[in-house]
Formats: sequence, C-alpha cells, structure tokens
Amino acid sequence: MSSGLTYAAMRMASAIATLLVVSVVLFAAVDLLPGDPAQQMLGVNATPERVEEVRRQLNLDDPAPVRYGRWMWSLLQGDLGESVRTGGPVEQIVARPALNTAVLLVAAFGAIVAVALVLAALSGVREGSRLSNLVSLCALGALSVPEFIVAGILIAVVGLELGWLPAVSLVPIGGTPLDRPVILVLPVVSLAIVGGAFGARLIRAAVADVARMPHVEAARLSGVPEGRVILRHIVPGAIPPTAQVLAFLVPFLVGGAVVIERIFAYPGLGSLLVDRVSLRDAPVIEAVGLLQASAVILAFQAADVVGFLASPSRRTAA
Amino acid sequence: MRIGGLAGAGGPLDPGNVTSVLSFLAINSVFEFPALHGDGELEPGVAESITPNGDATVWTLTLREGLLFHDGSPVRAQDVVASIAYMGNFETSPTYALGWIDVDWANLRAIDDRTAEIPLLRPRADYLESVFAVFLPIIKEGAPDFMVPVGSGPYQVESNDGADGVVVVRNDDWWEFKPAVERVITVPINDPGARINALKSGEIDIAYQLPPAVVRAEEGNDDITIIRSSLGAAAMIFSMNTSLPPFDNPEVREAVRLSVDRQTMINSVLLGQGQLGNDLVGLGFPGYNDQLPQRTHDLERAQALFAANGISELDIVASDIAPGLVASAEVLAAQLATIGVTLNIDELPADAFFADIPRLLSTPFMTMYFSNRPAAVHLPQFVGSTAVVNVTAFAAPEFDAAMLAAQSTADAEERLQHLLEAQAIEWEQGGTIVWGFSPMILAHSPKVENVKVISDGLIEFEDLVLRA
Repeated sequence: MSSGLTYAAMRMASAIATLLVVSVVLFAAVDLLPGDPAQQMLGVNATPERVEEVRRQLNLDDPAPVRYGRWMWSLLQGDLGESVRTGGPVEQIVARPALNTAVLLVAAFGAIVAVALVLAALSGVREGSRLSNLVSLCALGALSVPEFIVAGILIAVVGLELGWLPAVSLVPIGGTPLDRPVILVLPVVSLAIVGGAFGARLIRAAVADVARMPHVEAARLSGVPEGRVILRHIVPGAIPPTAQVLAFLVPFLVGGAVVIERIFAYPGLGSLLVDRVSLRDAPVIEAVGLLQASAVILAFQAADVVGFLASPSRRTAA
Repeated sequence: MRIGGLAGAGGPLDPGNVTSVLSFLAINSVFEFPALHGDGELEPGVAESITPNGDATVWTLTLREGLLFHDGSPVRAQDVVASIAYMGNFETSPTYALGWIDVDWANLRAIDDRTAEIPLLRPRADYLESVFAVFLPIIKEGAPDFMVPVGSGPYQVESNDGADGVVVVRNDDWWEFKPAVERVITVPINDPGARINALKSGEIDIAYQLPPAVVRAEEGNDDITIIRSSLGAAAMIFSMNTSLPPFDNPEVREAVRLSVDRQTMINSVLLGQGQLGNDLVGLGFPGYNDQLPQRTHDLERAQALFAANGISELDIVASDIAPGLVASAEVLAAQLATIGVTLNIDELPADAFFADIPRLLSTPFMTMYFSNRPAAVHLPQFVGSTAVVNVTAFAAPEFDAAMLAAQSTADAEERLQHLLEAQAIEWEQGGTIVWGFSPMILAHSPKVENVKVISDGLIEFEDLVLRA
C-alpha cells in the first residue's frame, strides 16, 4: 500500500474513533440534562401513571449504556430515531435546517478564507511594515467584539436604519436560502468579521514564520523578485499551517452559527439545537450534535490531508 | 398576513397536544369550539344550544345546521362524541384530559346527526364555561392527520412545515362570515428581539408575544402598534406550600404577603407594564372576585410577624418560566432584607422547572406563573383536594365544599356566589401570592387592523384586516 493510502486509512480510522468518543460524550451530556423527558413531553397536568407509561415506552428506565447501545445500533442502520416531542422522524426534522446551516457555513467560510488570506498575505510577508501593523490592529479590534454584538450593530444600522438588507433571515416557505440569497449577507458578514480577524492573525503568524526562514531570506538576497519569493517560497511553506488554521475556524463557525442563527431567526441547525435543548428532545439534540461534530472532525481531517499533500518531504519524494 | 412567534417543536397541529403558541394560534383558526370565552364573555360557536338537565348531570349539545368540515363532509354529533373521547383521553390529550374526568364514558352518545348527549358522573352546572368552551375543539371522527388537519373553522391548513411555519387559507364555506384576510402564515421566530426586528423591517405583520423589555424600547415608535392584554396574561406568583414548614404557619404566610411591595415589583420587574395582583387568578374574566380588599404592603407588621415566629431566613426556588420571575425573587429579597430577613434564591433553569412534578409539589417556596384564566377554569385544576397540580397544597374542606357547589349548583347566580366564596377562602387561607399580571404583549404594523386579543392571549385570524 502506498504511503498516501496508508495515511488516508489512518486518518479515517482516527476520525471514526473520535466520532465514537464524541457520541459517548454527547449521549451522556444529553442524558444528564435536568428533568424527566416524559414529564416534559406530557406537561404539568399529566398523571404520574401516564408519565410512568411514557417512560416505559421511551425505555427511559433502562440503564444508560443499554440506551446508548440501542441508539448506536439504530444509527448504524441509518435510523436517527423519532422526536420525543412531535413523533416525527429525526432525519426529516434535521434535513432542512442542516441544508440551511451548510449554506450559511460554506458562504461564511468562503468569506472568511478570502478576507483572512488577503489580509494575512498582505501583512505577514513584510512583518513590521505599516500595513502589517494596521492589519494586526484592525484584526485585534474585530476579535475583541463578540459576533452577537457585531450582528446587533449590523441589524440596527444596515437592516433597520438604512433598510438596505433584511434585518432577519427568513427562508421563503418551502424554499432554500438560495432562493433569496440577500438574507445571507448580514449573518455571513457577522461571522466573517470576527472569524476573518481571527484567521488573519493566525495565518499572518504562520506566513511570517515561513517568511523568516533561511531559504526565503536566501532567495531575497540572491535578488529573486518579491512576487516570485512569495509564490515559490512562502506560499508552499505556509499551506500546511494555514490549512490547520482554517480547520480551527470550523468549530468557531459551527459555534458562532448557533448564536447568529438565533439572532437572525435563520432556520438552521443552531436554532433547532437551542429549541430542542429547551424541549429535552434528546434524539434531535443528539443528531444535531453528531452532525456538528462530524463537520468539525471532517475539517481537521481535510486539513491534515492538505498538509500531508503539501508537505516538502512528500513533494520531494514525488 | 405573516405572524411571527414562538414555534417550539412545530410538528402536528394536534388540539390534544399543543406544542407551541404558534401552533395554538393556527389550531384555533382551523378548529372550532361549541362556544368560546372570547374577550371575557361567552361567544357562540358551532353549537346552536348546550343545555343541562335539571340537576346538571346530563348535557345536550345541538349543532348548528349545515356545518361543514374543510373536506366538504358534514360536522355531525358523532364528531362531537369522537372529539370528547379524543380530548378526554390521557394518552391523546395529556394536558386537557383532566377537564373531562366527570364524563360517564359508557353512556356518552350521539342521539342523531346534530345532537350529542354528554352524561356526567356528578352534577356539573358549570360545564359550559369550564369545559365545553375550553376543552372541546371539534375534530373529525376517524384517524385524524394532524400534520394537515381537517377542521371546520374559518381557515384551513394549506401546508405545515416545522422549519417554515404553517400556512392557512380562508375557508370560503365558513358558516359565520367571510374573513377579510385570505392567507395567514405563522413564521417561527423564537428570539423575541428577532421578532420585533422582523416586524420593524416589514418581514412580518404581527410580532406575537413580546417581553416588556423588548417593547419598552419601541415606545414612541409610530411605525408599530403595541397591544397589551390581560386576557392571556401571566399571573406572576410567589407560591407558598401550606403543608410544609414554615409556610404551614398562617402567620408566616401573612408576613410574606405583607412584605411584597406589588407596585415596586411591577415597576421594576415588568418595567411598569403590568396590572396589580390581589392573590387571585382570573382578573378581567367573569367570576373574578373583585370585592376583596386589595392586599397592601406593610413591612412593620411583616417584621413583627417574622420576629414572633423566629424567622430570619427563607429559601425560594426561582425560575424564569415567565420572564421576570427570577428578578421578582431578587426584588423580594431586597424588600425582605430591609426588615432583617434573608431570602436565599435557588435559581432553576426554566426548561427544567416543570420536568420534575414531585419536586415541584414538595418545594416550600417558589416563583410560579399561571395563565390568566377564568376562576371557574383555574381553581379546580390548581387548588383544592381534587386538583392534580396543587402547588400550594391548599385543600381546606370549606374550599372544596364551595368549589363543589360552584360546579354543581344549577342557578347561575348562586353558582357565582359559591365561586366568589371559594376565591375568598383561597385568598384568606391559601398560599398563592399573585403580585401582578404580566400582560400578553404583541405588536403589529399600521397596515394591520382589528387585532383583538381573546382568552388565552389568542388572536382570531378571522378578525384581522390587512390594508395594502
């Protein structure tokens, strides 16, 4: 087996192991939420007998490991279970919000990457320059403001005062966010301002590290033009650390989307998660949690693979 | 017409198991009741008449002629019987089944297509206002599909999607009149700040259920109209368990009542947007006992009572099951501190509060809220020895007797007197401190007219008018 395939197989195994650990933690966390799901389902007027009956129907009296095992077994067969609140299949409940969140995250990620790469490249190549310091300062400023404040300011000014863009991001009935892309602008900008600043600072540091390396200095001293120095010597060296930084942005985005979706009333996984936690809808919470964890794990795996493919030793071998 | 509100889990529009306020609004426009509490008085519904026999042990419900479900089939007495069976079954209707416990199920029947006979196990002269008008949406007999349910109301469901909301369209065959608005969409917006933003930016026409803090910022904004209603308000409560120390001592209960500065509570917790409470639920509804003197604030006497009973410290469980309850405990702590009594606040997450009923029933002192409903509906559910969720554990024999008489006496005037008496007993001896009513608040655009809030804080879609 080639080193590439071995590497890919190892990454896959590690991803599955991580996901398994996450599933245990997630199941335990949902299980530890205060309150009895059966009572929550039936409301305050339910008789104790009826509560007990529903507890039995939901197998809530079984030990946690047994319930975990049952959940995993169904999961492996592609069955995410049913909502304990509405009785609807979890796949159906999660599908549309997952698509909506995916659209938001991809758009925000794209915006962040563009902003972060341009800023980082501009400032990291010539460390200590005026531009570099200005970018650093702006990035620090943006980083110090939580995204919900950024969102609040954007809603108040751009949405309500100027009326340029929708202040809430309601998806058209039966449609997708892409049917009305304008609703994505403010949530994406809210996420991208903070995420872009965060990414720019980290990528800038990575680029600066590479720019300080002896072979780059040597190239500059030999009179190689600056453009060529950047393209041939700095960019390739900065790819692996940059991929890691971008992967770090994914959990930031997934978490940030929970807040942003709620503020903009955007019907994504974050909104769904918040609502179902308050309703103790364990199967839906677990499904959303697993999807979010999978996105994060996938991002780190992708970053590792990019790092592997771009690593100098591999390029030399090739 | 787009109405933004709390959507909860969405899902089926099941009158037996309502999952959110937005679902409740849609359900109320799709299904009809035999009669309705309306804006305080009983309003007619699909029943032409609902009459008891001499001792109120058998009720006869006669439907109007020519009623049709949305699928064109006639509304029959058999559907009324099926609806009672559905709403009275703890499995299909866990929240409302309790209202039907007095039905003699074996003899419940449809006499003909328009007449249903509802026999009871004991006299219930109050059944029209306490049960038929509260717990009987007419559901079509047979296995109902509640995702897109068939009702007979002024609107029928066009689509029901949890993520997008519910779309209802006007039922042109409705018996009463032709509603002005052709289509109403309920839009799930769970964050109240986002709801008001959606209204201000024209994405929705009505923002339903808003906390006082959100609308206070909009005072003076001519582009939106704010409505505050006591029908559907939350009764804001300190609940003392009369069976547990130290609240089994009437003097301690009296001392706490005297410590509560109700107006300050309203000013600080509800930002001045509330009505003064007098320890009873049902303000603004028929049957409310408004003859009792208003409770007053008397710290000096409270201090003397606490000292006489050796109380220098109390514990309260506080939870924001209605916005402001935790703050109310904090205000009470400050008020008690001035007379040397320490109030320790144990805060509980709102979503965990109702999840453990046995704990709820064994908590000596806690914040609480009840929907403001008629006393005849509220009291049997929450006070007295037959109430299932009696959080104050108050169950004096004289209260039970008054309540029984308020339910069984045939003469309406006499029945009212018994109901007033039951409230007076609870007011005098019970463990409920209703310090105020947090109003049901909604806001709408100037394009919307005729927004009327009825009981339970509902708005009836058929009343609404939308100007271009």
